Amino acid sequence: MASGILGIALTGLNAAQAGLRTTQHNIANVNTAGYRRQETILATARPQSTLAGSFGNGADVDTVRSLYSRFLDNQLLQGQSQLAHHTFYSAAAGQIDQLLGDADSGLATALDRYFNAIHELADDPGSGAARQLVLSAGNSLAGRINILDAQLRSAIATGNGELDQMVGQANLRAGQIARLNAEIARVEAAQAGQPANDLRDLRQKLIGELNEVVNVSLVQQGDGPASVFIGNGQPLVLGDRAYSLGTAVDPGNSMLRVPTIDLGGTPMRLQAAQITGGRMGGLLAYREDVLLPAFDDLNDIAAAIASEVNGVHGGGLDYNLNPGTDFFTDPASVPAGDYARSMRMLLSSADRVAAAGAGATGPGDNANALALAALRFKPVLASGTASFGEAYGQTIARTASHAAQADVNLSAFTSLVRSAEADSRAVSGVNLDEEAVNLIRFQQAYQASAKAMQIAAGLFDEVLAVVR
Amino acid sequence: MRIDSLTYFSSGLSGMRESQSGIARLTRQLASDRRVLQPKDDALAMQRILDLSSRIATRSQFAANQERADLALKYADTVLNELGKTLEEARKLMAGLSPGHDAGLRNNVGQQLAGLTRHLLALANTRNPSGDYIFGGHATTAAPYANALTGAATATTYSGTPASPGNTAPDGQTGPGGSRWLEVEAGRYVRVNDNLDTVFQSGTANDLLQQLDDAAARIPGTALTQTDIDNWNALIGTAIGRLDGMRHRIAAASVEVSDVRATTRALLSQEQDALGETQKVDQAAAVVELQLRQTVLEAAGEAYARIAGLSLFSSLG
Repeated sequence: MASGILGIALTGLNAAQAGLRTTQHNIANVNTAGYRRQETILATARPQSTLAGSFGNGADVDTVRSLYSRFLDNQLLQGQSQLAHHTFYSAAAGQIDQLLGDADSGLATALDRYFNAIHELADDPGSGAARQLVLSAGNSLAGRINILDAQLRSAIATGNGELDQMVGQANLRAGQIARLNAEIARVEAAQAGQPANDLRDLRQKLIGELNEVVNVSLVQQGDGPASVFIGNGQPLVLGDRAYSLGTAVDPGNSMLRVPTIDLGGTPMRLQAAQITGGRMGGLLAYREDVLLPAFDDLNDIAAAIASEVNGVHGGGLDYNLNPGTDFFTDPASVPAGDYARSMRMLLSSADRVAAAGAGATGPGDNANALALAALRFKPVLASGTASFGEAYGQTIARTASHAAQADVNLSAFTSLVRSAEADSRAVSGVNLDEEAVNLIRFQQAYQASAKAMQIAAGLFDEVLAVVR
Repeated sequence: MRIDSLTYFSSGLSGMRESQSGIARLTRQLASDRRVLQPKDDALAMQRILDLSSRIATRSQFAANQERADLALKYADTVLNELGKTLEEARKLMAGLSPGHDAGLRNNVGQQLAGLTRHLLALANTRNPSGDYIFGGHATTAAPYANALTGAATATTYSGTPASPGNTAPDGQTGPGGSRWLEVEAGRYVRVNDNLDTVFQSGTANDLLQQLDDAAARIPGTALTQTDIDNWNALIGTAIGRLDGMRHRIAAASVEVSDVRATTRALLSQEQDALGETQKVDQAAAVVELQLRQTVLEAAGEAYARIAGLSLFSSLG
């Protein structure tokens, strides 16, 4: 019996040690990202059956398990994907919003200055200073449009670079997840099906990081390997195999790169509508909602200004009564969508400003300058409903509306994710006070088992003394 | 409810971040005196700011146009007034003249009339402060009237824009050839010059300068008749009548400009006030909010400091 007592005390010591070890592991990982607290599951050892009854044989360590809720984890994944989407969108749209709306970089002030200069010319058509002012204001207007165009092109190029980076990050994570799937399967097989908790935590963390790059859906049968899908169900990770994302030039717009997935054969394009979350989703949505419309609007406004101004300017006479020529670069001479970059003020001297109307008898005629000034209010854009300034105002309003909506979404998802994180961590997170209690609990259990062992040893010594 | 240590210790962090971000925003608003730092802060307000800014820029330009128009009209009126006075002088000389006057007196009248005629020619070739000839219509760079006034009764040459055919303004108003209109309000145009050739009638049988030059030469002579004096008088009277017509038009145009100016000033002031109200920071409210956020931030910091000290491990010794 005494050896039985020693054996039971030993199982108690082992169980308490396992508990202490898990507690220490939890304490050590209190700040580890993605770590989910673990607990040691104990079970009674197989009892010894006798005619006098069933005698317990102590405790066995059944398993060590991670504590988490798959439902809460999925909820958090969804929230984090949307948060990453709106964080990217809000920051990027905010930059375009700032660019277009700023008095120093936007178009509104330059337009006002240009048309005011035309008015000054109409007030004093013979004045060299007024003519020079028109040239300078025309140069400034074209220059401002060129700068805005360069900024928007730079934002498009930056977006392409970011897309490449995101694709690289997603591929890196997908590869790591596939390798972990294989490693988890190998480890769990080697330890008779016991869960590889820390590797599983790491896989979940990597899935979370991938999901912040591009929204994924997760399929996991039981405790088996995690399969990761993106878009409309295109596989990115299947078991230990990872497929790769890539980028390609958009056949519809050579300035843009678009995401693709290589499932063998020709890489397949992923549409913006398929990528609805993660930073990549934010980038594609911001590009479609804000960046490209602003770029198109700027080109339309610039081409309309040039076309209208050239039309009127060409119908007038300059200071020396020679026929007016194009004031700005002819939009017809530039490929569509490239005008804002190419727009230049073409007049070589102030005398060439055609302020006089056709048939004028001297430079004091301001008929054409008045006609040029009237273009300020002419509704030529938005299907003939908006002047240049109004059309630009509409661009700013649309951009601001998207940017403001993104801020609202960002705020909503920040709070939603904060709440989902708190819910998830309420199950998985380490509480140091709890662990302090566990330390004492297992310490006391260890001490009690040690005491039992001491008593068993004492009993054994007494029996030996009797025999002696 | 179970709470993990990380959440427990960092729960105040988001509040502190929000307070800090709010304080940074308020500081930028106060430093720039702008409530809307970028369109997305308040898309509607920004739309209004853009609209008001554009309207103010346009209206300020119309105010400048009105000033130009007013100056041009006043300048022309001053010259036409001087022209009128000169013609009145000439008429007075004619009225006091008789073929029976002695040669000395007639000689004197002739000399005075010659001086007045030269003055008329100089006035007809008046240039504005920018150096443009104001009575040449669109031909503003060359003196429109030329006559040597040698007493040989040579015809006056007019090199400006002929009065006929007339000109049309963008709003459909018509005026004599060489008219120039300024836009004093959106779509509203005021003519700021006049064609003096209807007064001088250069090159015609009633060429004013030619006739007065002829009169100045003939008055001292013995062949002077009362009919001559009556004809010259009538010619001067017609010129004065036409000049008066022009001055009436200028007076009416000046009144119109003055009315528009008053409206423009009032609207400009209203729009500038509205822009100020939309754009500027409510300093008092911003300072109160800043104080509130600072207090919240301090409270959150204090709460964190207290929570950070709470641990069962420190109690266990």
